[in-house]
Amino acid sequence: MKVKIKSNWTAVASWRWIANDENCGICRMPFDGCCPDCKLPGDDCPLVWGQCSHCFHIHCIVKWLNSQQVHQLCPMCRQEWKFKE
Amino acid sequence: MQFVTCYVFYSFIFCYFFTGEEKSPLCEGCTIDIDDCTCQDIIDTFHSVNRQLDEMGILERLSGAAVTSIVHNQIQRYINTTCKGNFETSYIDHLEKWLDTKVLGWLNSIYAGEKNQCSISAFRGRLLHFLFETYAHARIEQLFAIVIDYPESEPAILDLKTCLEKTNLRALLMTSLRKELEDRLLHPGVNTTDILLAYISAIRSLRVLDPAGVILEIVSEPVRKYLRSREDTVRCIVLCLTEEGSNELLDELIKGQPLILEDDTCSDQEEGDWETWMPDPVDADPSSTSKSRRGSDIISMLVNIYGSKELFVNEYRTLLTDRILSQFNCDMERELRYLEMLKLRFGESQLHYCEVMLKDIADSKRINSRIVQEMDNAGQKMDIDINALILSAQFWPSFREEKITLPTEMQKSLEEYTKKFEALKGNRTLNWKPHLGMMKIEVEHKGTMLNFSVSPVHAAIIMKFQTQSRWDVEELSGVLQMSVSALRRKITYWQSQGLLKEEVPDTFVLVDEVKGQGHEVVMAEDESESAMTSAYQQREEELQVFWTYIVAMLTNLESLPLDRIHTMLRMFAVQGPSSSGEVSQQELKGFLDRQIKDQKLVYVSGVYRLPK
Amino acid sequence: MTNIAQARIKREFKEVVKSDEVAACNITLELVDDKYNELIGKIAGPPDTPYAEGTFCLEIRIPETYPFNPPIVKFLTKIWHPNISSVTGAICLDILKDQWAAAMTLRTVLLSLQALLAAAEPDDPQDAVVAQQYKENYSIFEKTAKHWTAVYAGGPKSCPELDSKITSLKNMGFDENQARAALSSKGWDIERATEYLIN
Repeated sequence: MKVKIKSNWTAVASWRWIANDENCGICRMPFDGCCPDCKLPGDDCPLVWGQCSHCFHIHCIVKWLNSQQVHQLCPMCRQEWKFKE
Repeated sequence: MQFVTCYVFYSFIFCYFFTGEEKSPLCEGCTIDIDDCTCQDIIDTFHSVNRQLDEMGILERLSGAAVTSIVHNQIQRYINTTCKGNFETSYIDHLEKWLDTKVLGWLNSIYAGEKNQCSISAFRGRLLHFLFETYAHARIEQLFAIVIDYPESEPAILDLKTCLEKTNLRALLMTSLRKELEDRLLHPGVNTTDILLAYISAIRSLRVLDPAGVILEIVSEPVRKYLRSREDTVRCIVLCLTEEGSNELLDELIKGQPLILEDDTCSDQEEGDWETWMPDPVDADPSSTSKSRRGSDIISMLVNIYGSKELFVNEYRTLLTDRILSQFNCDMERELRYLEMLKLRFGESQLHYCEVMLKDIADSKRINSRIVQEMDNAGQKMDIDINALILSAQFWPSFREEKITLPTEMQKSLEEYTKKFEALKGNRTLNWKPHLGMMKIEVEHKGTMLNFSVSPVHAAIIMKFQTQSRWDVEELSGVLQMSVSALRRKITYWQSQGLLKEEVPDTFVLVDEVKGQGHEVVMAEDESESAMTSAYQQREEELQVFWTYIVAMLTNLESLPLDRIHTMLRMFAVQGPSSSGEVSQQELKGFLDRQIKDQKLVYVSGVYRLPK
Repeated sequence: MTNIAQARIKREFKEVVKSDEVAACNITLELVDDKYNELIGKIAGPPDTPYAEGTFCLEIRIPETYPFNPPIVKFLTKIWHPNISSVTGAICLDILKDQWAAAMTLRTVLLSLQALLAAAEPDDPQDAVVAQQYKENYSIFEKTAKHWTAVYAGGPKSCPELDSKITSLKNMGFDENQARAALSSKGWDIERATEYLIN
């Protein structure tokens, strides 16, 4: 017997962020969902990484950095926050 | 004696009086040929007797009871013959006219004397009341049929409404219809859809009958309770709402009012026109608000069977998921249109998840074409064309996780696609769900070509039989790294297609020859199972696997008590990577009871055995 | 309350309820109402400290800007501790001020407070009187803290001698709590406490 796969395989997958945690440390919502201010996940509510390797929803970390008057520190490790290039 | 004589006498006259409507050659009074009939003489005598009795002042006393009784009988007979079975005509005016001309005409001819006029008009009032009552009784008897026939039966409903205002039959109506609904609808033989349709008819018709909604609330209470107990109610309602073509629920949906749920508590502020305001009837249940009874539309009423929007929306989400995953190219425009309508109804936030789901479909299409285009530009081509459906897992119902290792060539294609995806969408990757999706395969066996559309898991299983035509279930489950129970479930498809057979228990072999020849295209609707089967169904499937063990046990040991079966099952079930081997004794008992009901098992004096 | 603050408190609340510390009865968290902006926390006094076996209640208020600003926390249970005001219950703890970080949670706050009970920092005091006593006469501090735990936090009865001193001040017509505060600040010297209370 021979089995041949013909064209057009409709395959189902779910996407996820490659992150070291499941939830955003700031809003505590799942990374694969979106921050509390967003409706659509993924492109519309992306993650950003700091040089300290911690990551957050971009909207969350921006809000945090704006709320910090003196130093801009990572909410996780309190090292100075710098966006990873 | 006096009454009987009078009765016979007057009743004869009545019949005679009423002739003339139909032209019969026979006299209605004496049924003798009209020419030979002496009725006219009798009538003349009758009138003179009446006159003389009246002059003596004893006419009323002598004839009253008999006349009343005759008139009542005639009214009943007339209503029964005229109105029965026809709900599409209003009879109130007709009946009233009939009473005035015919019945009162006859009475006038009996009580012709001047001084009787006043008592006749009092009599008319009583007779009219009797007429309404009789008519209402007749309608109440047929009310179930009238309700089901709504809106065609609206005239009958309106008549009944008039009657209710003039009589005291409200309580009778409610008890009778409530019982009728219970007897006719609320048993296992009736489809949920039919019960729902009847309920919808009841909502619409009883709203007309009693705008305050109290009758509906009381009468349909058992229906709601019963629908709550049926597993498929929500599914049926949602299906009705979203099915193609016009239907009553869809019309309601398009009206697009926001939902009024029973827990909305702003009812003290009755809106609307104070001039037309009516208090709630005295039989209204004071614990529910007047507004919820009066104001809510059919969809609200249906949702209120459960009282929760969430449940409803979840069911819609499940159905949407089913549709997307079974058709793959669902009619996006249509789905979006429905979603918009449902959003008006159920609120934006409730349906947010579904919005993301539909967006995922659109996004997937874009990503697919981007990836194909990039490969074209690079002059590459994938071994197997993949059309990926990429889901935002947080927003979809949770899927049954099924682990499996796909054949290398399939795995390679998926990995290749994943790489392209990762390059396209930085820092993101894909988790494939091999038990979902669909692929076309061509099976060539001993010169016969067969085409199938199956899930990747099904394909992986049959591909394993290319190199080895005989597999032990345990062994195959090890190679594919999937659970034995899932494997068995999937193999049944290939058994039903006549490609595999279970030669000895737990050993599957490729058949020598495939029956059915030529290029046959067989579509496999993946066991028509829902991709995210409910926990209940999933459990049921697991228990089905246990059933094979139980049958084997009982074949060998003849009969066993519950606790022995339980202990032995646990020994079997713990082996293998099966997801949840544990089953409680209580659950097992429930399962075995169901097998007894299906006559697959017998329970005698504390032990179970197979029927002979 | 803004969307993010409320959503986060909801999730945090669930996390705390499921956490190991709750299972071990070390911390608890309760909602005051269903608005998620006011909570009551409870921490168990750490063993081998003067606070052992006591239960301390905390008022937690969630600012609109949470989690970008720390929750506002104070002790509802009266406590004798260098970093906590014996009068108002106000707390001196860096993470509740400038060292707050958005990744911290109510759970970490409660655990930090528990740690603070076990390791006071008298050099960064909230209550100067307590801090001075802590540094200059630790045994009196310990006795006082234990006494307060027994009276206010349901800890074990400790020193009958202190109780009788309070009773004698009460007999002079002073309020019990004021008497206790005065005696505690004056190293349980009745005369100095009386003098303090009269002035």
